[in-house]
Amino acid sequence: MISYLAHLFVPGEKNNHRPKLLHHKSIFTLLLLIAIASTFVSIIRKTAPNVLGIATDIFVEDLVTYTNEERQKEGIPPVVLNKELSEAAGAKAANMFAKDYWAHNAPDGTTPWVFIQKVGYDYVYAGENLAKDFNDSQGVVNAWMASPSHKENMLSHRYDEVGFAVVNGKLNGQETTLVVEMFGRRQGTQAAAGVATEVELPATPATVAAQPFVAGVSKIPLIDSSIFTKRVAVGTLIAFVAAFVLDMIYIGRKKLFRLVGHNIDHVLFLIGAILILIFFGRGLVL
Amino acid sequence: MKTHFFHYLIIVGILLLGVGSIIFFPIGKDLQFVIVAVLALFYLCYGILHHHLEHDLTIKIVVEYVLITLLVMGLFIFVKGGL
Repeated sequence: MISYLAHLFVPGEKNNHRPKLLHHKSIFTLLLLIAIASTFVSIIRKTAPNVLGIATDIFVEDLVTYTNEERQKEGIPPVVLNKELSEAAGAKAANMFAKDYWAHNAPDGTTPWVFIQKVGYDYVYAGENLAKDFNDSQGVVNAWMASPSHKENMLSHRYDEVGFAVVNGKLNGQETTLVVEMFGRRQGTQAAAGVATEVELPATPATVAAQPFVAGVSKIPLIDSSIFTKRVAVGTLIAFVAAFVLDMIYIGRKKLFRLVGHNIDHVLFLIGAILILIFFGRGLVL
Repeated sequence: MKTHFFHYLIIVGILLLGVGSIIFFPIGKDLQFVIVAVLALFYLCYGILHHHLEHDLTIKIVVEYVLITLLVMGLFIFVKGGL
C-alpha cells in the first residue's frame, strides 16, 4: 500500500521520474471515473433521494427562535409568529416556484406586499427577507445577519410580528429550499421606537391563493450529496497539488530537465479551484 | 526570470479575481460555474502561450494543460450535479 502510494505521488525510477498520478494516462483514467461517478450520483439522487440527497433541516420554530435571539442581543422586543404572515410567505414562495423567479418582485411586477394584503393582514409596516439553498435554520439567520439590509429588517423596531415559509421546489431547473420571511406590524399598534417610512402599498392586488402553514423542511439522507461530492472533489485536487509539489521538490534536488508543463502553473490553478469549491453553491439571501 | 515572474503575476491576479468574485459576491451556482469555466479556459490559453513564449511548446505539454483543465471542470460538474 505504502509503496503504491509512493509510486503515485513520489517521482522515482519506477514511474519514470514523474509521479504516476501525473501521467497523462492516469489523468485520463481519472476523468473517465469522474464521468461514471457523476452519472451514478445523478441517478441515485433521482431514484433514491433518501440514500443520496441534499440534507435540509430548516424549521419555522427555529427560525423564530434564532431571529428573536438576535433581537434580544440588541435589546429589541421579540417578534411573534403570525399565521397570516406565514400564509403570505407561503403564497410568495409558491408564486416564486410557479413563475420561476428569485426576486422580491415577481416578473409581472407583483410586490411582496400584495401577498400580505391578500391574506387580510392590515399592516402599517412590512418587510421581506428571502433565502435559498441553505441546509439549516441557523445558517439562514446567520446569512441574513451578515447582510446589512437584511439585518436592518431582522433588528427593526417597526415589526412586532413575523411569518415564515420553508418550501422545497425547483427554481431555474434546480432543487431548492426556499425560505421566505415576512415581517409586519398591524394597523393600530404602536411601534416601540425608530419609526420609519411607511411601506408602499400596491395599486392593484394580484389574486393569490393562501398556502397552508408548513412547519419546516427536514430531509436527512443517508449521505448528503453536496458534502460528499465536495469532499471527493477537494480531496482529488489536494492529491494533485501534493503530487505536483513533490515533483517540483524532486526536480529541484536532482536538477532534472523535462519537457513538461510548469508545475507551479498547475499548483496555482488547482489551489484556486479548491478555494472556489469550498464556496461553491453556498446559500443565497435576497 | 523577470518574464516568468510577470507571467505568474498574471495568473495569480486572474485567479484571485475569479476566487474573490465567488467568495465576496452573492451569485448563484450557475454563474459560479460560468466563472470557473472562464478561469479554466484562461488557464489553458495562458499555459499554452506561456510555453510558446518560452519556445518549448510541444503537443505533450498542450495535452497536459488540457487534461488538468478537464479534470477541474469534470470535478465541478460532479459537484454541481450535472451541466
